[in-house]
Amino acid sequence: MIYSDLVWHRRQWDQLQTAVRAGRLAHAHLFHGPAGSGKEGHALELGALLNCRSPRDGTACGLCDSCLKMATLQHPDLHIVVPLPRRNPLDKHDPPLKALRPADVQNLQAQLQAKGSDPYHKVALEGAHSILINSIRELRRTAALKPAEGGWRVILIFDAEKLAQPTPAAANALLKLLEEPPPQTVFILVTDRPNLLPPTIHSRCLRLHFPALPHAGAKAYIISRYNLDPTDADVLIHTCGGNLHLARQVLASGERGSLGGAADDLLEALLQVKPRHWERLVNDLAQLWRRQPAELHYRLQMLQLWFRDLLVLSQTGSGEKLIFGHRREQLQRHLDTFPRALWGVAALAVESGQSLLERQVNPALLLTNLILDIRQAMKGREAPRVGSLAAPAGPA
Amino acid sequence: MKFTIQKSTLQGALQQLGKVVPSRSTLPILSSVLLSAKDGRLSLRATDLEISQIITVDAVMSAEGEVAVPQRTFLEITSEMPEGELTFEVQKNNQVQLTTAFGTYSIMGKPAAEYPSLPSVDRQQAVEIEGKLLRRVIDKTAFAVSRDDLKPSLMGVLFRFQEDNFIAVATDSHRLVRYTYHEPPKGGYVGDNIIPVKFLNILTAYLENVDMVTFNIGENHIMVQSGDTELYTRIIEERFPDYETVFPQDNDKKLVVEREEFLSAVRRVSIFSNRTTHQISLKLGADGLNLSTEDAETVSAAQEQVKGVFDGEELMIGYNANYLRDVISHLDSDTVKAEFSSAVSAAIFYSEQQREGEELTMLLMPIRLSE
Ligand SMILES: [Zn+2]
Repeated sequence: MIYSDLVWHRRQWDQLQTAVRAGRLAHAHLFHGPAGSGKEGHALELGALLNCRSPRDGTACGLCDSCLKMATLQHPDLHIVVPLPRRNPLDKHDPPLKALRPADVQNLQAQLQAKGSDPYHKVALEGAHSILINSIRELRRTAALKPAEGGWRVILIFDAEKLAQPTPAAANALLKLLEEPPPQTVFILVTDRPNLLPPTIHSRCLRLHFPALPHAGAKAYIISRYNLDPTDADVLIHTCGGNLHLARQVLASGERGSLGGAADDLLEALLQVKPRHWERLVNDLAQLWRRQPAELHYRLQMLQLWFRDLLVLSQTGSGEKLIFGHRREQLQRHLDTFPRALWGVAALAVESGQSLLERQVNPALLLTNLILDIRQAMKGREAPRVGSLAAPAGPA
Repeated sequence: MKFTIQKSTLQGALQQLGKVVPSRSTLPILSSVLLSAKDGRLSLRATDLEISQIITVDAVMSAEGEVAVPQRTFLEITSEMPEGELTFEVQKNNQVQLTTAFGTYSIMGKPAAEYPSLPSVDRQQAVEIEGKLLRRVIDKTAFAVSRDDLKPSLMGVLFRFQEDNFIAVATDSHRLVRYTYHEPPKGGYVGDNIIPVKFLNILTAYLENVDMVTFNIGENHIMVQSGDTELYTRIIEERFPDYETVFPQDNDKKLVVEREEFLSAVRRVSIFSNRTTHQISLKLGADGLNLSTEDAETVSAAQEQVKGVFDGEELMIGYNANYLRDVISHLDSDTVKAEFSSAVSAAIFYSEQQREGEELTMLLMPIRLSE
């Protein structure tokens, strides 16, 4: 294996490695399932296994020269496609990286390096809302070349749902490759939101579901990586629902000394803002969504966790199970200010707001409704405005 | 690792490798070149994972070893250094120290182990070609290669080595070039390979003053060795379309025309053509041909008469002026022959006097004339 602390999904892996051994591996896979469950890590392990010189116990050896290159994501036959921001205009024949500024390229290099050492690192560039069609064009061009090392060509497409955003152009460009794949080539599309991919892509891929991580596995990862107290790790994983991307974000912000700090501005604004100031708050947030969607997600996630802590604290009166235990005083102050608040309802409102943002609902309208919902919940009233927006977009 | 080298030698090699080093890549190591000091020789290598280049140069070795150094930085440093010798030494942790008569300079290298490995090409299957000939083949074919990634087989030049001749073909499905050399290539290799045009464009610079080059054909790569330079490329793994069947057999309308005159008329008239379609019309008749264009968008028009000999029924045919210009300018005799059939079928263009030992033929598809 190339990752020392990937939490294995045994059943899924057995299915894959049995197919490899029998020479019956499908040429295109769709790994789907909740965020932070290790889909990308398994995809990389599969690529490593295919090219490993001496596999052991159904996994890559992790030691041969092929495995070493796979482990650092530097194997010449490994192609990783990720969403990219479009900072510069692109001509039809331009390489996709031309869309980036030099700082973005460096950031991408650094993130790929981080991915090589941590299966749960999420490669995410600011402003990267779609997989550029130029990335698929480049893929088509290089896929026509003989493999560099003579083994398997491994093509990984992360955040594959972004092939279809904002238009299905990149997805359509990929179709022909999936229909007539080059020899010795395996495609693995990875997504948390398979329903955003067009049926034409689905029908050409073998689907493999990766459920949320089992608690024990996720806990072992968190403890070994972050040297966290086992009780803290329990709380964290429980709250993050096994999503290790999220858990890592929470911990990263904790390292900055402000676990939950990212939500502070948002929270303060929510607590104080007068209706006439909402427009500005909403505009600021909508702009953040356009420029740095990950950052807005992160803040909303923190806000949601904060509401959960308020719920836990109000029900148990104890600081034991709190994520933001180190800010208990502030939590208590919020409880005292809003004695009738429905914190669980507020947390749910944030959660559904987040998932709707992903579906490209009008963000300003959505955020306005979200703020109204949260404020209603803080006053002890339930008024599911955000939820009502879900109707035209179809069931969640 | 330690060696002493003429600064101009090092600078020259770094400059050449700059053509292979990618300007942007997700792999930071690719912005470096790999220096290997071994057996009294210094080799420098660059790669973009598709094309690799090795240049071997003379240096005085004190200690063998390998290190990767950032190409651009290293080139900038050497460019600013005075002529004469410089000493290159790798210290702890891949720290590189350069010493000249003026001072010492230090830059950070990377471990050689991080550098991509060299493609393996066994040298069993090979052909030898004259540098001049190969350069001519590339010059005559590369322009017609397709840029359309939906037809990857057309994104390179087909090199067909046969028992008694050697053929190179390129097409973007609007035009097609076939170059035939009527002598068997030396070395005995027989086979087809589609070679990416990017590689050929880099290679051609190395062929100017070279007698013979060796084409080594491996499983996945081709390596061309020319003097102290080795260039590797991955081969396009596709079937090239059957080009012979597209050559028309019964084009009975024949035109003979002065090449330079034809070419300059096309150049002039095309300036007035539509910016998107570049459409120009050729009216072929007894006096030769009449070139004309009209662009409704910019309200511009042009027409010119070019003297020539035309044998056959009158014909009006439309072309993309850029493609027509490319075809005529890549022929090299004083007079051009062209054979037509109809306004919707391919015409053949070739030199009236072919060079000895070779045959260069071009096909051009017309475009439908809009009224
Ligand atoms: Zn291995």
